[in-house]
Amino acid sequence: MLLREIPLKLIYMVIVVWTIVTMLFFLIRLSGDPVALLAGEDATPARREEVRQSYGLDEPVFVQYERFVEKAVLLDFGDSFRYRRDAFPFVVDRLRTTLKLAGLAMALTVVVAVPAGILAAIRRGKLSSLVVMLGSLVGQAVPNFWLGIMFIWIFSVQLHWLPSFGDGGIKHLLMPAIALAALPIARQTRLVRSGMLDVLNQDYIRTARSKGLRESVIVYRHAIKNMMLPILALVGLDIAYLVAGSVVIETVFAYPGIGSLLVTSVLARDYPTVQAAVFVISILVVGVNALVDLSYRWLDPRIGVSPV
Amino acid sequence: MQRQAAKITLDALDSEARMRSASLRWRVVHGFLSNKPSLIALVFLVGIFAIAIAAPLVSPADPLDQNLEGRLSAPMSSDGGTLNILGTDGLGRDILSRIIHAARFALPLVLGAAILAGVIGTIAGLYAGYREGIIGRFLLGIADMQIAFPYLVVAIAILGALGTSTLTLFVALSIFGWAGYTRVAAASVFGLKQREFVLAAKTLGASNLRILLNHLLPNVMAPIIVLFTFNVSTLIIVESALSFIGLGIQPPTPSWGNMLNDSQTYLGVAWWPATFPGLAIMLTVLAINIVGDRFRDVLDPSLRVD
Repeated sequence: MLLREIPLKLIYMVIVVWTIVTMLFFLIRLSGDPVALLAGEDATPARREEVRQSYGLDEPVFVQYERFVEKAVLLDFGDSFRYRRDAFPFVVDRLRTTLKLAGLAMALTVVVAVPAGILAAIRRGKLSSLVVMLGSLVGQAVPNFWLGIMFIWIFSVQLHWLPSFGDGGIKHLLMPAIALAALPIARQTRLVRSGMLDVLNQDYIRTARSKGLRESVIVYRHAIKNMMLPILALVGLDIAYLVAGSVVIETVFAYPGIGSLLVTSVLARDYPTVQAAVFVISILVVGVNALVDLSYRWLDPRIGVSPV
Repeated sequence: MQRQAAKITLDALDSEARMRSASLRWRVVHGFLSNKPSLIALVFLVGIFAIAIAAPLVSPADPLDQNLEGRLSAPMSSDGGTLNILGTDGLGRDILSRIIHAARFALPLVLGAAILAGVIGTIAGLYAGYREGIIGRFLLGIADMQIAFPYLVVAIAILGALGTSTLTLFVALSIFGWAGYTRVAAASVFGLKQREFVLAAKTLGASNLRILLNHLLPNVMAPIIVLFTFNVSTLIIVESALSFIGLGIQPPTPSWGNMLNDSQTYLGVAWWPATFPGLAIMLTVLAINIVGDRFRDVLDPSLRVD
């Protein structure tokens, strides 16, 4: 049943990514002529024409689009205008650096949010629960880039504990990862808490209680197991957030990932790199979402089948 | 005779729907008056908006006025007769005045974008939910697609390509939220349209538009209002993030985001330019979220977190 859906999911993914990449292609072509940028501001008209022809920019836009698609299918987005090298492998290289950061942030999210949410649920009304909920309220309101700047001020400028920019070991990752994880931690904590409260109201928990099981057994053996599925679904949502959030966080910490590359390329109008980066991020996010969705339904067959 | 009876019953149905929404309004007012944190948050927000609207009257200095001799003066320092309550930035501009003027520019932009997204998204959702045709399914498909995707990444690429102006920023912010409204409205209508009061209105010959406006829309409004508040707070963060990376509100117009971007240069010597604009974002968003939580608790108890 589920196996039959995999091709459908793949087709859906291709359509989504294609739509995004195509939209971007035409918007970029609408937005102006990159020739001035490529040839230099003070290039002679003859030199400009030469550049225009060598990049195929003299042809009608639909011919350009056809050629673009032909190449994009083979993962060739052309050379970066700025770095003068093949854009796609370059972008993939930067993606690896981003995945280190996003992976750490993801791990932090699960490690902090799940226990905090469970604690807030089972100690409902107590001080510890209030503190957790207040923290989660504030965490959802803090812009991550500001948190990053404040971290730099405290831990780099004042205390000299951590480096404020660049890529290196765990020391370089710590501040950006925590800043990036703040929002997902806050959001997940709330959702884990309400999910846990739901589970604790179920009939089988009441049965377990009336059997005289200890509260800790009820929580660990019965309740938490049933919380795992909703958490998996949230992980999918968080991937999209972490990738988007890394764009801004990497800029704060001058961290050489795909996000900061996207920003500098957009500002420098380096379109092959922008195209390649958006393509790679689209595939990643749409792919992870599809995987999470499929595994979610594989683990809980009660969940209905939808075409997309 | 029969037709007249149907009309009278239908009018009665309509007025009952109106009465229900009137009692809802009362519930909201009571809900805020009876809960101190949400009342404080609401008053705080009203204050922020009042200050933003009255910016030229209340701000202590001109937000663009540079004073190179008074660069980076600390909070509460007085310089040349004027007191810089929150200090000055790297060009000697008064930070408090800049924060106030940033609100004056950004808050209407963000509110406008959220309203536009809400209106368009809700209409699309009502349509998709009421008429489950190809167009409806197509709209829901696009909404699903956008929700599963890091929209900010595409917005950055598009804003970079089109160049940033107030208009492109407004459009980018509006597109950000519509999908959520569409999904919520469609899901509510799916559930509601088989309920007795809708079937009764239909049997009595009410037009589709009348059913949509008088019976479905009021019942969809509760989750839409809740979504709207969270949409506004998200957009405040998105706008400041875009301004921070240089694709949002452009200097010299101050924005909380571009002020934070400036502040990074002076982080080694001054903490205040980096601290106060961020606090402004955080407190505003916090207040909106608290109000939104309260709206949800009052309007839609089924979604209650507590």
